Amino acid sequence: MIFGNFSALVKKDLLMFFRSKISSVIIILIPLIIILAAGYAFSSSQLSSVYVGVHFNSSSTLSQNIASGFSQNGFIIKNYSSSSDCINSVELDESQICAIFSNSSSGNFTRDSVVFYADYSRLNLAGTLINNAENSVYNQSVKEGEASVQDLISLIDLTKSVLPSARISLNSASSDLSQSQSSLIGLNIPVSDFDTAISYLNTAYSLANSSNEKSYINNTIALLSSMKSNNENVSIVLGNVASFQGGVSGDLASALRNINAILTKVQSKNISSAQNIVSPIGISVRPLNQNSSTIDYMTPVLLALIALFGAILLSSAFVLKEKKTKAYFRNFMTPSKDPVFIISTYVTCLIILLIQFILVFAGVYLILHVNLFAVPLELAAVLFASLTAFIFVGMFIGYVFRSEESVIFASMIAAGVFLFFSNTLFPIENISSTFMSLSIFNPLIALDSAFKKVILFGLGFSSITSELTTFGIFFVVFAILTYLARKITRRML
Amino acid sequence: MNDKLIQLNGVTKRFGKNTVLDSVNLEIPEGKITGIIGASGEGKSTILKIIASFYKPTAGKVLYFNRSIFKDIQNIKKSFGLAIEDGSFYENLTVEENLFYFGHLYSVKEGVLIPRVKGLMHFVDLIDAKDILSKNLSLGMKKRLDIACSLIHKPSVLILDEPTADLDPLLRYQIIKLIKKINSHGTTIIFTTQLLEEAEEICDKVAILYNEKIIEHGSPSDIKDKYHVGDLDGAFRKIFSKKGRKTYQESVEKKTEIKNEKQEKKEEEFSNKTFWSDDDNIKDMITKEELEEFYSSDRKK
Repeated sequence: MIFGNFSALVKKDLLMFFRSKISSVIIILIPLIIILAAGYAFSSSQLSSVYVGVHFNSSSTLSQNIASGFSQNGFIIKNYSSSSDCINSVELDESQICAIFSNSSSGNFTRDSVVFYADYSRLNLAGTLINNAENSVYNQSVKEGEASVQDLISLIDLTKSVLPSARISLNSASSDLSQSQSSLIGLNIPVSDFDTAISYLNTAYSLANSSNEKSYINNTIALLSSMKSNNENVSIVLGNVASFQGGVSGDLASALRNINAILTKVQSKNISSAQNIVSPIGISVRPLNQNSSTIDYMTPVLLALIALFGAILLSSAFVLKEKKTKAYFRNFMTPSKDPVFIISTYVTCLIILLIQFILVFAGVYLILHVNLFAVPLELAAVLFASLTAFIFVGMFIGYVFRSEESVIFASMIAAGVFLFFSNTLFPIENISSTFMSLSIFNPLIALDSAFKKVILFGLGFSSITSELTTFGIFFVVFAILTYLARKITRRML
Repeated sequence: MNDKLIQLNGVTKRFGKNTVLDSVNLEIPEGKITGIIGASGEGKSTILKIIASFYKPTAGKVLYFNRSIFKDIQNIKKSFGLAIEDGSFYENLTVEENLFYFGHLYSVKEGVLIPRVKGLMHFVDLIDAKDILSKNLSLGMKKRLDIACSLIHKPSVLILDEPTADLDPLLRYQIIKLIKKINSHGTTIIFTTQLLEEAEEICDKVAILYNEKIIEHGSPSDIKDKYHVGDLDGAFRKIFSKKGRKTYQESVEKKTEIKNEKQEKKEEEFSNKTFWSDDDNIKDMITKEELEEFYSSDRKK
């Protein structure tokens, strides 16, 4: 009996809907047209028509190379004669980003720098542009840096090869010095030998008989005295040389220690690649799906938006249309209860939306070649749960408001609130923590997330339970509100 | 036959601060046609909707077979049929589709519904228009469709809210004929009207609603006898003169604050040629010829 009432209601609604052929065709086909258009529009992953304003405060080879790197990335370069003109070009939307190159001196060293100015009101684009520009600068810097570092590495290698032989030479010099020190010490004649020789000669003088002998002896004594004196001088000089040698020996030892230390450190560092110094950590960014294109990544959010706007607008319009019909009063006079009417409206909207989505899925799969059916059961569950939640939101709006204008306005506001506090316009991580904690209940975020998990990554039910729970909560809350709102409209008849 | 099939005992209805009905007492006999007469805005539609259990009275009771109708609303809905003044059907469905739809809502079984729909379309003379969208029907046909939708579940009580409003005399005659035909099958009929002639023609019992109360009720002949007049119009003059010479014109002006402009204009125009005025002289009474002239001039506009 209830099923008879229910099927009569659904049949009546579908009959009236499809009786208006033009509007029913438009309602069903529009989402398909939108998604195909979006698919073709965003089929390229490259940025195009991006203007980069450039100004050089001071030019260098590096900055020129970086600027030409922008061109290679597909950006269109616009040169400006001043910084203010360059910055103004971003404000006036003539350029999407401005790069100002300058360099600064510190002693004998100069350092190039580049400052980017971007319009952060276009958050998504600004982020992409900055990322691209920074990558360009980074790549060029790495290139230049690697060349310089390679020179340094060559110098170190040369040092590594030269220092051992220098150490050998120093060791040899040190040992030669030690030998000469020993030899010098051996050279020293003791003063006492001279004194002994002089005393022998004095004795010989006293024993000499002739004056010639005495003269020769005196001369020898004088000579020996002179030699003694010279020997004393030589001793002093030898002493100085010895101490000088000691200093040199110390210096040589110190130099050897330093060379040993340098060699030890240099040999302990295994530096073979300039790249390892300039960028010790290799960075690469890879998509989760290597074979995915831009349209693959856009499909979940597009489908979510179609579900959101389609369901809320359709269901609210359906309810309002029903309220405006002459028969609305008579429906209250029949024994059929309010839940039957509510569920039949829900089923009617669900059928129409499912027809829409079948066409959309077919179009996306066949024309845009996006594989949506990795996990078809999960996809169906997500679609069913999300549409249910949105339909009841729309039905509630339809019962609460009385005129077409207010219903459409309220539906757009509701969808807009969901859209604004989602990842679609701005990253949700940018908003305050209070709103972020509320945003987890946003069904659009749940739907976007669920579609991504199911369509892009092929994950199963266990990964989408929280999203399905969100839809369930919305369904329960708005089903109750819808029932209450319908009760209230009865009183206004 | 039960003389008190439906009883209204001290029924009061207020919408916010506005009192529409005040301690209304009325008995509807079974199998008869009861007419409730009153000016626009007197509360005729409200009283019908209370009887049909759509509204709950602020005070008082409504009894059906001596049981409160609000204790078993589902059965009341199955037993009562209601056709409102503006009509209540889907304009984008055909005649047949409307009848099938409401038949299903009243849980009429398919095997019963199919012949019943066909029979009903014959009964109200819409069989030739069964595939026409309701919005494309003429005014008279729409009225008949509305009545048919009210009869689809074979109610024992049929409630009609001004079934002849806005109709020309010929169409009015057709509807009155239909009402009599329905009543001849044993259906109790309650309807509202502003026209005394109509009430006198078909009603077994009339109730006059004025100033939130039923000021007179009974069969037309009883009322005429009571006031020693030849027709209901004469009785009304006496009733109103008893009520302090309040003219119909004044009562219309008071009550039509809540009616739409078109209705006001028409009634105001009509009330200038009213049946009764504040003196006993019946020379202002409109003739049938004047009536036809009035309606033909209205159509020309």
